[in-house]
Amino acid sequence: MWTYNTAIVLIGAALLGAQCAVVGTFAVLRRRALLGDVLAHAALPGIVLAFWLTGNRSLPILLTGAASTGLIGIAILAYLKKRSRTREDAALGLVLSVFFGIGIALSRYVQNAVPGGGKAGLDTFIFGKTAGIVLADVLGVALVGALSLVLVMGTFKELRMVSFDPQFAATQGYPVVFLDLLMMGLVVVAVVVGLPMVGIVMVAALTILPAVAARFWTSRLPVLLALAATIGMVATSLGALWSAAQPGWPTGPVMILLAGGLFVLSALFAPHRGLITDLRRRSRARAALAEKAAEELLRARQTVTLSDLSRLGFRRPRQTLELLVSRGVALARAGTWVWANPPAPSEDRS
Amino acid sequence: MSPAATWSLVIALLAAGICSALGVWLVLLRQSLTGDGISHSVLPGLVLVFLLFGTRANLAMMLGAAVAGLLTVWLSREISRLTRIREDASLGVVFTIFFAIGVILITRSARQIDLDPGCVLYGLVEFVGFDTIAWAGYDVPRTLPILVITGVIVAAFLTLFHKELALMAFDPSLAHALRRHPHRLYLALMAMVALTTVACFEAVGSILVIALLIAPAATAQLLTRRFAPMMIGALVGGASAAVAGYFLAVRWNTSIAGMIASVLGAQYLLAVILISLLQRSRRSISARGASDPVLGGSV
Amino acid sequence: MTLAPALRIEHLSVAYDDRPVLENVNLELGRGKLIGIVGPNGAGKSTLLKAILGLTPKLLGSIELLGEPLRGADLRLGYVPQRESVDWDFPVTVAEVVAMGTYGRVGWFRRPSAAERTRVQRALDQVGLSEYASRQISQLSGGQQQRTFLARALVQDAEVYLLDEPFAGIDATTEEALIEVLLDLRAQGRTLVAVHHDLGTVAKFFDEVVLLHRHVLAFGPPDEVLTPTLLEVAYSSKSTSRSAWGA
Repeated sequence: MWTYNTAIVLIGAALLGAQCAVVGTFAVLRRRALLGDVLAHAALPGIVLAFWLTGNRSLPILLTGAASTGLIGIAILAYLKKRSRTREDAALGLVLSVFFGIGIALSRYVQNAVPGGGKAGLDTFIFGKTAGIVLADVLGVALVGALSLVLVMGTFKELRMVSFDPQFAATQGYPVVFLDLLMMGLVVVAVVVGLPMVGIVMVAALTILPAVAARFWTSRLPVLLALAATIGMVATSLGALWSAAQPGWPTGPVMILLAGGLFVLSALFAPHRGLITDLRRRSRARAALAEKAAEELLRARQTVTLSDLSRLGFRRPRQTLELLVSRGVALARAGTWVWANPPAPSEDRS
Repeated sequence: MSPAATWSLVIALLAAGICSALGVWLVLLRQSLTGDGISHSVLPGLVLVFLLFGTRANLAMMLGAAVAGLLTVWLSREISRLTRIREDASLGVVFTIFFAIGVILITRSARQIDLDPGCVLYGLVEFVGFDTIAWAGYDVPRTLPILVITGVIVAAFLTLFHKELALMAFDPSLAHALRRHPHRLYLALMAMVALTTVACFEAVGSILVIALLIAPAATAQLLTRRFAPMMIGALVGGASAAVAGYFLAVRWNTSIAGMIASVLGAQYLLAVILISLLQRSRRSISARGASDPVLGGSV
Repeated sequence: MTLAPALRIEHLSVAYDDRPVLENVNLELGRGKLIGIVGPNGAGKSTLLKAILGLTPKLLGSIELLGEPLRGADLRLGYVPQRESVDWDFPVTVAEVVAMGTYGRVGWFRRPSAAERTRVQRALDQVGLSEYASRQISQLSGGQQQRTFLARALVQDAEVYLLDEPFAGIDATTEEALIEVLLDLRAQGRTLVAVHHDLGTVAKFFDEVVLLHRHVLAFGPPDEVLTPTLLEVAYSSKSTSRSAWGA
């Protein structure tokens, strides 16, 4: 299976995964997780227009068209945010559905009106076709990815500020609007590059899943970006390998499932922020609070029963009281617990 | 118009009415993108019902799809409640994974299932008139009874729960204090969205469902700050876009769903332009009162 | 036989994630009183109101309303949230917002009756907003918005009112209307509990004050609670509030 073609596809997929993950991280932090989805849809009419106007079906021309309408989508989003009462969620949904609708109308029109119009290969862009990747495509992805990376590194400080606290950034004199546009522009470029490989929904997923998964492991931005890129690369390259080895498995969806699996693993098992440690920490904190509360209750009332504690909402009254007994704070006496009158008031044990 | 063409128009109008009414609440709740999420994630529900029960019966598939849609909403809420992920991100996570599962299921069972993901996206309004069943003694499109029943359910829901919906959307904590169960009501509303998405998308395609959910309400919201005009405006906008989109599509020989979505976009654009012109003239009138008439309007 | 207190809170603890926000809060708030809750930012003032309402789950403790254990929301509890907590661009009129206060009584599937609508009108009169009844709420000033909430609380007809920062950012007219309404409700034997941020005006408005900082530091008449020593304890002990978070 290690053919030349597999290697090309593998490299292209890995580069795409990393690039989408990096730009997606900023979008997710900026609370625009679905931006990639919106702009991927907004690219569709551009593909059809480019084909219609030039009659050419070569990838660079179609993708230039895609990027153009994607950028128009961004301009509209930025204008609406600044000037209209439409909320961001509705603006995003509008751009997504209207642009995509225009794309479908245009494509059907071209297909019917232009002799030999075919479908402008539209389905390829909606659902993607990784196996069709050639060396030129990989070079393209690499070039665009490198350019994006340089831009991200050059404006790292500013992007970080804007994605964590846009209001504060604005008061500090950061060009928030410009940085927002730059961030969205990077997303457009990443998803447009990914469209022919994995399709609309899947390229959107590549901007969301790695970033969200990586968020469970760290809250330091440089680490977050590196981790998201790694997760993106692992998912895309393993996905590409899988469908190269097992024909009949669609590449894009397999990549997303892998990324989804990494998300689930991160969400459950990541130390500190993962669900399992989080729940355990919460229940420990709750138990400590319950113990403290029971101690204060006992001191105030001198004697308590299990039903006293249940009435107050203690989940495990017996265990809590037995803990107090073992610490010598309480004494068990025939169904009731009494304050043991410990010599010194128990000091802060922490 | 041929009977088939008339049916296409009727179906498009019905879908437009249901979606626009429901969309008003989605937009007011700032949950527009939930419609996007639901319409993608119904896919595995459809496929699973087909694979497990071997049926293409409308009701079973609709049920499966609606369950998948509702599951998406519930899961993404729970994920952001239990972890620190924000709701937009958790929605994106859940629906893309669901969609991927759906596509994989379709491709893996290619021989048994003739569900074209493309038709899920664009719908088949053009052909609804050719796929008919007998209903109440008439030959009607197969999708008509589904849409009519969905329309009745949605209209009943929105009317019966209007005041609770308004309370929940405006002030959820008071809704809770007054024992109006805002969380359950929210899920019920999302169940309506899921049901609508499923009922409509076979007829008009998921992209048009999203456009019809969001665009008429967003346009109406620009033009008024009152509820009744917003609802009526959304319904009129949705319906007129359906009619205009239909005839433009016929004239230019293109996709009806795509054209209706384009007209919806044009309506919104017009509203934005109208509002900004109104604001400009209002501003220049007030500026003229205060300062030099020549320089006043130059801002 | 003495009447049960308006609210009896015993050993109330509330935690967000693993961070305790309220610990072992014990309070007995008498009927017919105007009670202020003060404390530094992050002291758990709003959380206390939300826990009483059941908006925030409590970890431990019991709450009794008028002598009966409180389970979930109760229509005898009125709530006036912070003004910033809602979307003032929402397409409703002033009268419609006020009418929302009746929805608990009116029940599902029904519209407010004529009697309820008269009540809405009276409440609007009382806060001086009757001429604004059919305005959309975004056209109101901050003070008028607060008065709209107040009118809504009036039509709720609750026994105990919980108000979150009702005096924040309002004009003199509104303050006057607010005090008048609060005194009026108190005269009817109702209890009002308000989160308050301005220590300078506490004595002017309230009969009793709770000084809160995760625990109840003091409770009683304003001159007994607002002593320099107690305030020092409440407002300078930054170290205790975040200890669990950093761990």
